[in-house]
Amino acid sequence: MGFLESYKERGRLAQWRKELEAQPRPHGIAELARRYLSMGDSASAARTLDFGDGLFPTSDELRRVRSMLLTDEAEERLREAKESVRTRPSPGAYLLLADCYHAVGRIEQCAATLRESTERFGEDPATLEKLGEIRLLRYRDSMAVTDAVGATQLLLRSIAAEPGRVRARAHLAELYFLVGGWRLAREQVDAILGLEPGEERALALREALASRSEDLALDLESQLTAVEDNRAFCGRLPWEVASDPATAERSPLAQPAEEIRRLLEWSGLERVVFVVGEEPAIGVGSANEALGDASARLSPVFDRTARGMELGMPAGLILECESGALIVEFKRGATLAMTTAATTRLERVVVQARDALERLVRS
Amino acid sequence: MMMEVVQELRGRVGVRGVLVMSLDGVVIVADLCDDLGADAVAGLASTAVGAARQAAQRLQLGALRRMTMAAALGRLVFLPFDELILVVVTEPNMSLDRTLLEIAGPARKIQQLATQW
Repeated sequence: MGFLESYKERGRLAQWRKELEAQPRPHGIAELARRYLSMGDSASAARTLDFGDGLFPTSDELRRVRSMLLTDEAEERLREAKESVRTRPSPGAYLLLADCYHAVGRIEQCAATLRESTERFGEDPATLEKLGEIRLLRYRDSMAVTDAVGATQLLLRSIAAEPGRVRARAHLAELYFLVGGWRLAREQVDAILGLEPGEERALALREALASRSEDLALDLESQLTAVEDNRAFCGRLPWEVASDPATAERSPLAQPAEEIRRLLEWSGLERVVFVVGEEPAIGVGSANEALGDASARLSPVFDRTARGMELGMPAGLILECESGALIVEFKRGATLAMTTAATTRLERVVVQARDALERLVRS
Repeated sequence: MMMEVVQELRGRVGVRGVLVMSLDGVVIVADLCDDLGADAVAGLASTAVGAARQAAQRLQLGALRRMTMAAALGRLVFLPFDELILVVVTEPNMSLDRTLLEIAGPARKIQQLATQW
């Protein structure tokens, strides 16, 4: 867009903003913010969304445009970080770039950046800690012994180089807690609280560990193998479990159901089912019980197929058929299954499904 | 003939293994990377395609045309043609659309050869 056109467009948008202030409506505010984003004006888009959020806090349209804005800002930070690494390389610049990749969900590139830093500048405690964090993230999905061992080794090396690394100890404590290594988790929690007495997550873990009197097994490797075989962790991190009884009663069903309903509305899907472990399935759309049944039958078959071919944990499945498609995504013991009448451009649906499952698992 | 097409497909970017098998799991032609046994792959694939076909029928989606399974360390594409199944193992990080594009041409040739089977 040329300078004169851009100037005229800004004038039109300013006039539109005045109209919306006089007669606010969520669709109009969302569209205005979208127009600012398309012009590269994140600041005006943010101000517009703040105005809209104040009046329509539950608007789905405003929420969707907010997601687009956050992505734009993160991409801009990523560009700046890449430039820093190119022009003023240092372990700190690489770490910042790795954090930026992490923020936009590009985990493999985050790990590659950290490895490049290590090759270029040698190991340092901060890079080891970040690598350990990434490996732990992978372990949360894969539950594979190799990922747990890899994460543990990286974090222990970080701590050995710099014993005061609270976050490295926190990641280690989380890992030990997840696999039932209560004694090892307690050691790290005590060390963290010795360094930072008010560290919230360490305090929450200490409280959760108080009710665990013995390790499930003395041998950490046995515990890791049991987690991989059973595809289940021994403990849930306290900040991932709702503590308020009212919320606990509401959150297992209400938030996922709402998320799934939204997915059904704007993705052109016919039916959606979400299952976590042994919990009852949550489904929306026509004949979703049949979908729940079909995905429950398929999941173990594909688990055996992936493991049998040594491809690791299954992440997703797409069945393309004459009259539509079945898409199933797996993550941390949860399954999201959906059918669509679409038979082409399914990758877009898969990406939406993956994002939705990530939000569902986090909720 | 079929071996040549399989080898051509195996040489495509991101493809780690190719196998053509009968519906009941008998290997016809295979070009897999060293750590994958053809018979084991065929057995697993036969079960997977069978389960997928049943699911498609139950959900009234019509005949199964293609199945893709993504896993942590790789991706599997299953293409059933009448009496044969083509199984392709690919790298995990390629985009789905790119993967299917790489496979499309050789898969069509194998489908044509399958009709002569």
